[in-house]
Amino acid sequence: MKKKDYILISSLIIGILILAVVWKCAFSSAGREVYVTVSNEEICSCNINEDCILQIIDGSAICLKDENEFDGRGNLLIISGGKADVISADCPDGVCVDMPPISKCGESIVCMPNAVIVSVR
Amino acid sequence: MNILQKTRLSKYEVIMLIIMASVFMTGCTLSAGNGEDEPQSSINGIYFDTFVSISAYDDTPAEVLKGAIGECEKYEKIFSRTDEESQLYSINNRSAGGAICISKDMSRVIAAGLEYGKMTEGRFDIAIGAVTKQWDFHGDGCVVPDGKTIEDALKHTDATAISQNDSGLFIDDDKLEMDLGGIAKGYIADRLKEYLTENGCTEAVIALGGNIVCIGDKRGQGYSVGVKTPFDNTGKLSKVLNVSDTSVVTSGVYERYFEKDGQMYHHILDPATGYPAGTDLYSVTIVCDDSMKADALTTAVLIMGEKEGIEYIRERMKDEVSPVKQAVLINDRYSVTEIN
Repeated sequence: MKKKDYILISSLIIGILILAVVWKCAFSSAGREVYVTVSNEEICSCNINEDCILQIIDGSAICLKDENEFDGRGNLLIISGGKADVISADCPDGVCVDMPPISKCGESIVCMPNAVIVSVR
Repeated sequence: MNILQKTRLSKYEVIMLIIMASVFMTGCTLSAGNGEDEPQSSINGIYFDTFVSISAYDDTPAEVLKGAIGECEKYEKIFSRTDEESQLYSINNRSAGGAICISKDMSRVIAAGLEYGKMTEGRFDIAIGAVTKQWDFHGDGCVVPDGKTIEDALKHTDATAISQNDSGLFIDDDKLEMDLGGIAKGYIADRLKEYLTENGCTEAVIALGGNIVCIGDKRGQGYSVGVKTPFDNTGKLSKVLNVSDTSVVTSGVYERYFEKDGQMYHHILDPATGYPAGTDLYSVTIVCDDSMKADALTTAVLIMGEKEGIEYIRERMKDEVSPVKQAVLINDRYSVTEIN
């Protein structure tokens, strides 16, 4: 093989590598779901790549148009940019609000006082 | 195609190279997309006033995980101290003396609890229920029981009053109550491991609050189990342990506590005084194949304090059955001591 052959093959491999990285960035979270349980009962689930704002209150999830609609009761869950995060809650300890956003399968945000678990699967 | 024609590389060879490279890269991509650190399936819930999660790193069917989490409900009905329908509640609220009929699970936990009580010279004590119920570390209570109440309750914490035989359980003190909170989660974690392995699971992590049980070695890389920095809510870790097919249990004063008049009251009570243990340790982590044993020992060592606790752990590392494999102690100056 000559120099140009090496260039050709290297170019092909590098091209495929770039495609693989792009694929991973674009689709690694595809199909992942965020689901919410209250007192061990699943109340809702949604695609992690579809942005939405949910108020979890009285064992159900209410879709909000924006954060300003949150009246301070229950937990405020925001799904945005492929991540889920609880940004406000009426629980006394606020541990759920302190927990970092989740995006990987098996990760959870837990609010013990409200018996709420937000997880990714 | 000039390049190809000028060399000995045929079209066929080039195409094969491209296919091989594509297969290789696709393999890498799929692997990364699935996430080497991510479980293939998981399930969770809140039981025993604790967040429980089970994550499988193999192809264990979802039905098996559901079955395992269902076991938690069963054990809650046995070991809960507060659930009025539980077996422990009915034992603690018995109306008359004589033999009490109990389940095999309850019998095993009581037997182990009594054994660990002797092993730790009473630092771990399942007969402390009459004292435990005077304290409220869960609600908005923040009430410190008065000295007389604790003194009276302490009169009914003699573990030698508890015995078992083929007829059942006997408690030779009408006011004695049991608290299995320091041991039941370890027992349940061991049983969940049993359930999963019997159903073909070879790679999984079971977490019941501070009780972690690892099955297998996570595809050969081992499981990373973090030891939390006490009183830190941001998830900061003081130590990360790499373990396989064993249990890691942590007890810490930071888990449940309240402050009153500038004093901290944590949930780990000293059976000798009835008050939160006056310890110089913030947390104790023990690695041991037997999660129930690790559960009892973490509580006992925390009550012992750093100096005695380190010596005690070294002794328990010599045990013939389920020896302590490793321990991490964090004291009240946030200094970390690792014992291997």
